[in-house]
Amino acid sequence: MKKKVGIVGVARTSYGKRPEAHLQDLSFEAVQKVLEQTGLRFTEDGSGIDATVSCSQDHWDGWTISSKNAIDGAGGHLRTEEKVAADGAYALYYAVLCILSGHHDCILIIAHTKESQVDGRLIENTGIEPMYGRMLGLDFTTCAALQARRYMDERGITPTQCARVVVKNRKNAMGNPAAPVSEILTEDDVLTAPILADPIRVPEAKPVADGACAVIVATEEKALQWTDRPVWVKGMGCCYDRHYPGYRDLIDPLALRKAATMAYGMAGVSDPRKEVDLVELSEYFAYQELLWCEGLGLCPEGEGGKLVDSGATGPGGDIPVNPSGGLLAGVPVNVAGLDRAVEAALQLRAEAEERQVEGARTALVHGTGGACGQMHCVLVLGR
Amino acid sequence: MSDEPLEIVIPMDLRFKWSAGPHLGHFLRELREGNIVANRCPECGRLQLPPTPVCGRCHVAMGTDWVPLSTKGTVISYSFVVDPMYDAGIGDMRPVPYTIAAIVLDGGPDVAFFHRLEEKDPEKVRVGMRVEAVFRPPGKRQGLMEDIIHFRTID
Amino acid sequence: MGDRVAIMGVGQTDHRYMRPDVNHEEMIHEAVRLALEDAGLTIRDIDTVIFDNMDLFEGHYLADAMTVDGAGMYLKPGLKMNTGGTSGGTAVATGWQHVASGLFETALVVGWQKQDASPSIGSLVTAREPLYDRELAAGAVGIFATMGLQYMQETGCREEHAALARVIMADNARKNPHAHLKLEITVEDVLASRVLVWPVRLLHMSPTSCGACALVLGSEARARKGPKTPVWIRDLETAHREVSVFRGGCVEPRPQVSAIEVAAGRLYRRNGITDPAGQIDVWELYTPSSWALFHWMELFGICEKGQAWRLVEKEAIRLDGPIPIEPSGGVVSTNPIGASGVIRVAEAALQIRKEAGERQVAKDVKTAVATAWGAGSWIVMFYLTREA
Repeated sequence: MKKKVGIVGVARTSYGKRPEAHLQDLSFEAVQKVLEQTGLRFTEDGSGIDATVSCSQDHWDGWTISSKNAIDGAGGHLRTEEKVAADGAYALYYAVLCILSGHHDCILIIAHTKESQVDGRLIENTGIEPMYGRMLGLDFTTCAALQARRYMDERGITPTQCARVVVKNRKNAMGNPAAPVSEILTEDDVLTAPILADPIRVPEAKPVADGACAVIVATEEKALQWTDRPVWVKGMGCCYDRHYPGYRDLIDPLALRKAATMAYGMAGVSDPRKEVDLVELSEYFAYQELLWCEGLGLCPEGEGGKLVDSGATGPGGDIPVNPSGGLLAGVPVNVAGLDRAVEAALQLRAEAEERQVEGARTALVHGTGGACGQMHCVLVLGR
Repeated sequence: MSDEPLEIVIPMDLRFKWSAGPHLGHFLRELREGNIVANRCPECGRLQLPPTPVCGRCHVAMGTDWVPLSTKGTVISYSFVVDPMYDAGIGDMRPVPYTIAAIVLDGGPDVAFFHRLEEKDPEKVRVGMRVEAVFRPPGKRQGLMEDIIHFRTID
Repeated sequence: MGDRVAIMGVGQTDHRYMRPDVNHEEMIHEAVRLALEDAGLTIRDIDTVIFDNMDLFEGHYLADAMTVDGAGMYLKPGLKMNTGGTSGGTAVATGWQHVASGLFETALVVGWQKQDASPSIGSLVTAREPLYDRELAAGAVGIFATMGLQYMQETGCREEHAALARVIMADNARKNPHAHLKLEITVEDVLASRVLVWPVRLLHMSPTSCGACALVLGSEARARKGPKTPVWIRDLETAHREVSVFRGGCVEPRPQVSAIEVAAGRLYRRNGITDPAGQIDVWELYTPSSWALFHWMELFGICEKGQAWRLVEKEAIRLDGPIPIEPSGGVVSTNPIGASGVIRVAEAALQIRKEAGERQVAKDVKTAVATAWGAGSWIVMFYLTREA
């Protein structure tokens, strides 16, 4: 990238179910935290935040123009606010572009979703084309089950390998104060848990979560002025695949590979396994962590299972994946990708406490959307 | 075979369980008791109706400065709704006609409260008329805007 | 400021009340194909695609994902924006940011809405707080009724003037092959149409339309190589207003602060615009009701407060007048919501290229302002120029 863009603040709510909170409360809580942390304010003279990028979905909020639940709390009054209707990683991606363009110097990004207020599978059913797949009752869970089955059948991925992802991420989540899951599971627990959509069992799916997270990004000059531990966005990319899962080879995360290639090219990463110190990716289901690792080039094609078996992605491994516990720890949809950036930034600032990866200098951030990972966004962050 | 365009009707029924949050929640709990309250911005002093967690203008968190308003007020604007309008709650048209009004409640000069009027005769409704909230009987209220049936004319 | 960004190509569907002949993807594809042809490019030349619509109107979650093939997003970077009525404007702004960032040479911006899919007003009702005023909501008509009432009370404007503004926009729309409503109406016809919320009559309101509009944006190097005169997006500005106002809450202290005035003030200051009516040759404002036009003209600084109706009375806003406004016929003639903001920019670009056909204004157009408005008070605006 021709200019450096730095992350100067990250904050979030806790992600448990929040029956006491209005949607506005969730986003405002995260904004207040990040303002308090950075001491920044909404200004017009270049001394603070000059624009806001929000991220939410009308369907999940049940609210046309869902950004209304963020705008007042995020300083939108008589100021610039734009809403990205995609995963939170895309909101960060867009905010970085707005700084590279020179149009803004400092942007607040705020993502919120309250999953517990609606049956998310009904929402995701409306994410399937209406005439062809929606009426069959397809949603992102049933589509994922089809992808998981194909992945297991074609690549020899075993239920145990998927269970290992759950066990690892649950254990990691114990060190993450924002994570709502509070129970460590054994492989046996996972393998005997109730089926959600065969072959996916309940603990292999992302739990329901509510919450918001906020990130502030700024130009190099301002980032250096405002924090002594800036985290730089070194590269980024995103990509769409086709909609119908039937058109895609479900064991080839093509859009992810393209997004990663774009991000690596920008960041000058040639061997991610060696050059990246940790990965925060969006596994809505356990098998996806293995498949996304392949797509990110962390292991050869088809070897995602072996990767988790080797312990490389666990704590102390050579490429820790989701030291936060990932999405299986409970992170709201849409917030998910931005929360990956929050986690990565905390790691690179050596503020990740119990889940700290020692000496982390480069981290991967990944967000995804649509059935079976139809679109992906990848960012490379560095110290 | 004909090639008529196919348009397929798929009803969408999404049930949402909304959390009112502490501010709107306080307002609705008061409404259940037969009271109307607004919260006041600690910086600019404006009353917020509906109550919000944050003042959009000053960007400060609302505290707990609750201001009770009278259930009586003055109509500042009104409309006879004759064009059928969707009820987002049930996805169907609501019965027309009805009268909707913006009412400035006594004690809350800088906010308008929106509700229906009992009076449906266009000849009898005017700006400046005095009205009073008619609540459902205690025990029949649920902490909803519908706890007020409508506003009746009092002058 | 970042790299210079130009509009290389524009394409739009013919906008209609119903499009039962196509699904939304096919409809979008019509506009995309036209924009690419106009720019002399193929989809392979496009580096990224920006997409917008208002989701609940069609009921599709992630409509962008559903429309990858038709919008030309397959294996490309891109994202979806949704900011309500301003969505189309926001999408163009997003495309601008992509090219200005220097990371992308070209960006395709696609805005659309297919309002035959659901009762739009039912979806619009869900813009209200569900626990407070959703039960009482009555669409957007009330906002314009308030504007109209207030304007008549404070100026000498009468119903006839709003009706004349509507007639002028209809006259323009009849010269625009893409327009949805091409009404042959007189002031008397408007005044005889049904009252929705007085003084707003049926003919004062925008229709519910189906349609799509696409723009190809390019860097300076790319745009100079294109077949068409590049139209430069010289600057842009977005401003919101606190949400509680739209919730029908506050009786504002006067003078009211409008997001339009704030946004226009910033954009004019940055670009040395001190006399908007003199320096801007044509205006494509997002005017969902003819009653909004007077307010917009005054808030954008086209004339002094309280004077807009006089300019309308003199018919100064006609195609051959000194201050042409809505040469396309405007939103009041055509409103596929997610496309409407993109159409404003596209139409302004055609005026600068002098390719607006019968609706080309008489003036030599060197500069234009295009806007998008939404959610009761939000604004996105663009300053377009022929000179780089």
